[in-house]
Amino acid sequence: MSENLEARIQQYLDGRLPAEQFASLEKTLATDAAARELYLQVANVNASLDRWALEEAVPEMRMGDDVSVGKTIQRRRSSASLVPWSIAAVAVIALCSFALRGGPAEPTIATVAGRDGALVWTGDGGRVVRDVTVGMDLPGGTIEGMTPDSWFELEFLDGSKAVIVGNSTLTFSDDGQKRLRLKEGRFSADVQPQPPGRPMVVETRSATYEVVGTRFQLDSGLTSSVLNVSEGKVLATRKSDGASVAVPAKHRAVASPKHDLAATPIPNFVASWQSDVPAGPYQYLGQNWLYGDWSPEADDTPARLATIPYTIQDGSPSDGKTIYTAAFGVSGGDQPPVVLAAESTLRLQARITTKELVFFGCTLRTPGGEFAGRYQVIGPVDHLLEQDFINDGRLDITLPLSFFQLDPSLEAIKDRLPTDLAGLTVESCWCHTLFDPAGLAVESIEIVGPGADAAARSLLTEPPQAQE
Amino acid sequence: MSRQSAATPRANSRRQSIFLETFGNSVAAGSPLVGNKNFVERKRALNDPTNHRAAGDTATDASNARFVRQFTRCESSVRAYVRSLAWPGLDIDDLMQNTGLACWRKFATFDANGTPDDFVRWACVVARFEVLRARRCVARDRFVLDESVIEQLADDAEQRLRQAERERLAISGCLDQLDDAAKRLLLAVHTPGDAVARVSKETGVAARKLYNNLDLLRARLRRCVENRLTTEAPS
Repeated sequence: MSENLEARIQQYLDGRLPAEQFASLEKTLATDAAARELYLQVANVNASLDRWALEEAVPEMRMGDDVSVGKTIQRRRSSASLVPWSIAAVAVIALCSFALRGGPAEPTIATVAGRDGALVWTGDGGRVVRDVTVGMDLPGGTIEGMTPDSWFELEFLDGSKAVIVGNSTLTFSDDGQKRLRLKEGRFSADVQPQPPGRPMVVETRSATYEVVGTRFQLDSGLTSSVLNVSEGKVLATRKSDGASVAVPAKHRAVASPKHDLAATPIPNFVASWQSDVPAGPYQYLGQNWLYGDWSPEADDTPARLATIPYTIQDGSPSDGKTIYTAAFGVSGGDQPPVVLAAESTLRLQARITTKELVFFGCTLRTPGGEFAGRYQVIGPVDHLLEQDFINDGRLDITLPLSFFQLDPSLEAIKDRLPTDLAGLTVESCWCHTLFDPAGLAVESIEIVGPGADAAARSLLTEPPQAQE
Repeated sequence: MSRQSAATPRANSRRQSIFLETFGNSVAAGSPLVGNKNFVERKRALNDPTNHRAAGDTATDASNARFVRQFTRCESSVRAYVRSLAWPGLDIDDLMQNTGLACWRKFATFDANGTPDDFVRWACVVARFEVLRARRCVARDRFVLDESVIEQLADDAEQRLRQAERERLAISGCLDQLDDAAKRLLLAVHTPGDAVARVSKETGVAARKLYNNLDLLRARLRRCVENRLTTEAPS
C-alpha cells in the first residue's frame, strides 16, 4: 500500500487534507478494500495514541531538541506504565464517554509569534493587555496596532499564521472554525488547509471571505475591502448584495458598492511612487492611507500631514514616553505594489520647527506578503543630513536605499528577514520624532526607482527567502 | 499574562471520575438522565427523591450493574471503533455519550447469556447508528466521507474488532521504544488542549515540518504494530 495513501489518510483524520484531494481519497476507500484496511489500521493507531495521551505525563521539550524521525526510535525501557486503565478506574472508564468536558475557561487558540510597536490585546472578558510578548498564548480576542510601525503575528494551533500591520484592528476566534474580523487596516495570512466544511472566515465591513488554505492580504476601510491573493483561492462575498467571487492566486477583488465584484489580475509592480497629500486621507480603496493630522492647502501653505502622538504603555523602559508619527500607506488596496530596486532613493520633504532627531523610514514586505522588516535613517544629526536642514525649518532629504538600516527593535528576528532590500515591496513610509513633536509635518514622501519599470521588473524573479 | 496551560491528563481523569461517580450512582438508582449532559442537572436529578427507585428492586439493580460492568470492559474498543468512523470536527466524547445512553436504554435487547465479545459487537452496532445519525447532521459538508463509505468502513471494522484489540495492546511495546522528543510530538496532537504550534515554538522547528515528522512517526508505529503481530505466537 502506498505511503502516499497512508499520508493522505492521516491528513484527513487530522483535518489537514487539502480539499482537492478529498474526492480521490473517498473514491479509493469506496472501491478498494485494502485501502479501507489501511484506513482502519491508521485510525486504530490514532485511537491508541488518544488513550495513551490521557495517561502519559508530557515531557517538556527544549530548543534544539532533535525531532527528526530517524533518531527517535531508540531501544529504551520506559518506567512509565502503559498498561490499560487500572481496575480502580473501571467505573470511571465505564462511562468516560459522559465525561465532563472542560479545560481552561479561555482555552488557548493561538500564540504570539512576532510583534513590534505599540499593540493592545483585549480578551473575550474585556481584559486589556498592553505588554503583549512573543510566546504569549491567547484565547479569542481583539488585537489592535496603535501606530503605523505596529506589527503583530499570530500563529494558530494548526500552524496557520495571521499578521496585522500598522493601525489595524483584528478580532479572532477558533471554536473548531477560525473566524476573524478585520475592523480596519491591513491583514495578511498564510493559512494551512482547514478542516473540511470549516474554512477560515474573515469578515470586514464590506465583505466576507472564506479561506480553505492559502496566502493572501486584506485591506479594510469604512466603505471597501480589497483582497489580494498570493496563493490558493479565497471566496469573497459582498455583504451589501450577497454577490460572491472566487479569487485565485495572483488576483485581487474589491468589495465596494461602487465597483464590480470581480477577480482581476494584480497589476504589475512599479518602482516609483509619490505621496499625494493634497488628496487627503481616503485616497484609495481599502483603508485610510494617511496616519497623522492632515491639513489641506491654505494660503501659501501646502497640504501637509502633521505627526500625532502615541504614548507608550507597555511596561517597557520607554513606558510613559510619547512618540509623534506621520505615515503613508504605499502598496496595497487597489494600488500597484511599489517594489524597491538597489538604486532606489527615498525623499522626504517636511517642515520642522525645532532641530530634533527625525526617524524616517519604511516598512517592507516580501512579494508573497510576509513581513520583511522596518528600515530607517535618523537625522538630522548625520553630517550629510545637517546640510539638508534649511534654516526656515523646511526639511528636504534624499537618501539612497543603502542608508536605511534595520530598526534595532527587530534585531531579535533579524535572521528571519531578507538581507537584500531590492525586490521587496514597500508597505508604508513614515517619519517620527521622539518625546517632542518638534512641529514635524510632512509635505511629500517619494520613492524614486532606477528608471523604466521593465528594468525593475527583472529583479522580481523569486521572492527573497528568509531563513527558517 | 501567564501562559495558559492545557488541562493535564490526570486532571482530565479526575474530572471524569467525579462525573462518573455521579452518573454511575444515577444509573444504579435508575435515574432517567436520558440526553442530559449538564453536570449540575445530573446532580440535581440524582438528589431528586422521585428519581430513586424503591429499595429492594434487586433485578433492575443487578441489570444496571451488569451493564456498567460490561460497558466498562468494552468502552475502549467501542471508542476506537467510533474513532475509526469519525471525521475531523466530530465530537467523539459527545458521540460516545449518546452511544452509552443508547446502549443503556436498549440493554434489555442484549442476550443476557452473551459473551463479552458479543457485547462489544452489539455495542458497536449501536455506535454505528449513532455515527450515521451524526453524519446526517452534516449532510451538506462536502468534505466528510459519504455515508456509503462510512457504512463500508463500519462493516470492515466490525469484522476486525479482535484484530483491532490486539493492535492496541501491541502498540505499548512500540511506544516504549520512543524517546521523549518523539513522545512529546505525538502527545501534542493527541492531547486535548495541546498543539503542534507549542512544540514548534519550543523546538524552533516549523509546524509543517513537525507534521511531516508526525506522519512518519505514526506510520512507523503502525508498521511496528504490524510486525509485532506477525511475529507473535498465535494465542
